[in-house]
Amino acid sequence: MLIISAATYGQRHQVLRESIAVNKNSSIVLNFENIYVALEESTDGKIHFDYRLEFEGYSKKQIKSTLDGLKAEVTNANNIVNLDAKSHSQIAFQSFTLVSEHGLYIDDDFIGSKSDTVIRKSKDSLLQQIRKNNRLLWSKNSPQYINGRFKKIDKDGNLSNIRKGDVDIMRSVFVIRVPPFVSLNINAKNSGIHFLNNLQNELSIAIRKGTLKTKALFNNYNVIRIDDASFEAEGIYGGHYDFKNVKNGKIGSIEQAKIDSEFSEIEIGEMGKNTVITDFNSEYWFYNWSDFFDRFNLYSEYSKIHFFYPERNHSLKVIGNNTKNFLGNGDFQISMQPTSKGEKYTMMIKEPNSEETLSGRIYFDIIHGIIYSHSDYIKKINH
Amino acid sequence: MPNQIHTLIESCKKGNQLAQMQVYDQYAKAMFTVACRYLDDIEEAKDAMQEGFLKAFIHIDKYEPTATFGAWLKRIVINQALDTLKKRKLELVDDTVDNLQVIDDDNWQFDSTITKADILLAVESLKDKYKVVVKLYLIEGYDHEEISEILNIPVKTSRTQLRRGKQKLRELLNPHYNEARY
Amino acid sequence: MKQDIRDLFKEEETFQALPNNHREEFLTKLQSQPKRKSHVFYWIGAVAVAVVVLVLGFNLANTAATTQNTSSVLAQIEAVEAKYLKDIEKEWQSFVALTEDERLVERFKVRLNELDKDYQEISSQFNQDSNNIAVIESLVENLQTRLKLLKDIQEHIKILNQNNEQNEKSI
Repeated sequence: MLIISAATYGQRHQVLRESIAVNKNSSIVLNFENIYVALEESTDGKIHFDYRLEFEGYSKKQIKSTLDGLKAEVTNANNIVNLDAKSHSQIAFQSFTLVSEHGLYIDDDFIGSKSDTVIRKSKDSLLQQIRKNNRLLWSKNSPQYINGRFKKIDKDGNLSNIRKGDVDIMRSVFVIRVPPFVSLNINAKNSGIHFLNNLQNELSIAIRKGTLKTKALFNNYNVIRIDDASFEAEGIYGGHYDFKNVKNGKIGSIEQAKIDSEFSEIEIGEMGKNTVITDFNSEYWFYNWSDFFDRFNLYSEYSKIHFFYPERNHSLKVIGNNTKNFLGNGDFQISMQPTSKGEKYTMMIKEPNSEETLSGRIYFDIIHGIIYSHSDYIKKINH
Repeated sequence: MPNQIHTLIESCKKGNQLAQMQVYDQYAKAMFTVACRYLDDIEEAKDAMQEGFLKAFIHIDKYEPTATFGAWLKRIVINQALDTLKKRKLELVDDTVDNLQVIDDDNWQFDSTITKADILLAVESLKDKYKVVVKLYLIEGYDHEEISEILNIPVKTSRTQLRRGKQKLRELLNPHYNEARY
Repeated sequence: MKQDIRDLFKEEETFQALPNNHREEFLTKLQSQPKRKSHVFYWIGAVAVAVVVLVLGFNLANTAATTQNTSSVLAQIEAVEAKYLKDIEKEWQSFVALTEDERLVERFKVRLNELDKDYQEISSQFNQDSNNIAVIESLVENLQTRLKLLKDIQEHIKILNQNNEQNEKSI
């Protein structure tokens, strides 16, 4: 391992640097545990691995201990490029070691609180949220970030700012550049994965804990499983998605995809063509609908659905049982088919306007559900 | 009445929004008036006043009955108003202070014909660095220790600025001087 | 004749008129304040070192004393754990009593078992590395998730069971 002392206060260690030529038939297997990594597009037909750690203020002993607990190895055989990257302890984008004799004050405000009133987010504003929530930005302005979240406490209980000398910083910079034509298998545990480009690669991803953040994913054969992790995607086109205990899930727009979910919370900026969602006990927000979404199917049990009516001409059919429908932020309540002996009934039908072109048909098959309907359209009719 | 505000404050400490609104209703006019002394723009003054309340509610655990709640709140609102001024990068305080011994001149005797309105007008026409100190002393009634805390300046600077401001006021309000102008 | 002009400013002044809607505006501002939870974590030993990992959320229970030793921190965590487990059991009982849906209960049992298994894993990590804030947070997060899961589903069921109110219509 090369140890390079940078001219500045810090130290830089190259953990891994390798490039491998691949072709259409190659497959890439990436295994991560306790690692943060960004994936970018490679334009020269090779896959590039570049992993370095930067330390500021850490002692040689601390650095050695971190490096000893870290393994990052690439093997290449039978046209399969395999990466195993694993860290004994958590390595986030940045780790801070704060020295404070009397304690630390931690303000967990930044987790963000949900507001009580639900408003329709436009696709663009959801996209903005996804883009803004970017740890790479945080890493560029550490002092501000730290002081916004932590303060030192002195012996009298007063708070004071944290100075540069108080903080030892370890920065992890791991970038993998992948050509667009290879298939990618990613297995990750407690890791943070960030796709910096749109991806057309065929993806098979299983992540447990940690986060996955992507731009647009285009491939009908994508199989993506997210368990107990956070997920933000600017766009999903095709593929099969499995969400379990995904909190604060955000999807800018979705099309031609199938979602199986449970115990999750997912916001969808724009529902596009032919999407099917099968769900158990999640909370969904369907904010907007594309101009011609054709058909949308939801099968759900014990779910909460925040449904914003499409602006264009559409039809809606809701079948199932034991479901409540709240209109207008809870002012008005409809009990649909309260008996729940397993049989499904037609609970609600809204026919489209036959004179206008149809943008799509919405089918809800929903039992033990709660639907919150939001619509300016409905308000205009009632008042 | 002191008991009433005490109960309200205890509720505010628990985050009770109803209590907070009652406190707002009780003090908003007075606090707005204070903010208006430092900020010309009504919207700005209102924002500073409301921000002051929000801050007060956030830090309400720090309130101790050694001062009246109104005085404590006023301090926060003034700080908020001054922050707004600072954002405009107004030079509020001149740091150059003589090393001469500052003799506290406690003489605020002016001609009786001078009205409050005259004084307020004159204060407005003072340079920013004197204006704020004069307002804090004369109108709000703070002493130099308090002014030095609010503006984050040494006490000596506060005394000097006040002395110079008062001097300027005398020049502006001197009836002979004014007569001479007409 | 002279006057001390400071006296002029001692009396109550007439108030400035506030703009209309100021009250509604303030109410909105007040309601959009985030709920602040401050978590103070006092650490061990002469030199306090806290290793902070960015990813996870911070939901540590409030601990009070100034200097403590390792075993005392451990005792506090165990106390927190005990309380959560007790609450979780309580909520589980009331959940089972609330619903007749066997499939629902079964599914939740599966989910809670998974979370319990997770918890055992995190606990063994903690035993090896009790200085690690990240691990402690994982512990607490797991407990909170279980509790929230049970509370949310009960609320969901209660909403479904709600009887007719004035505005209700049956389709």
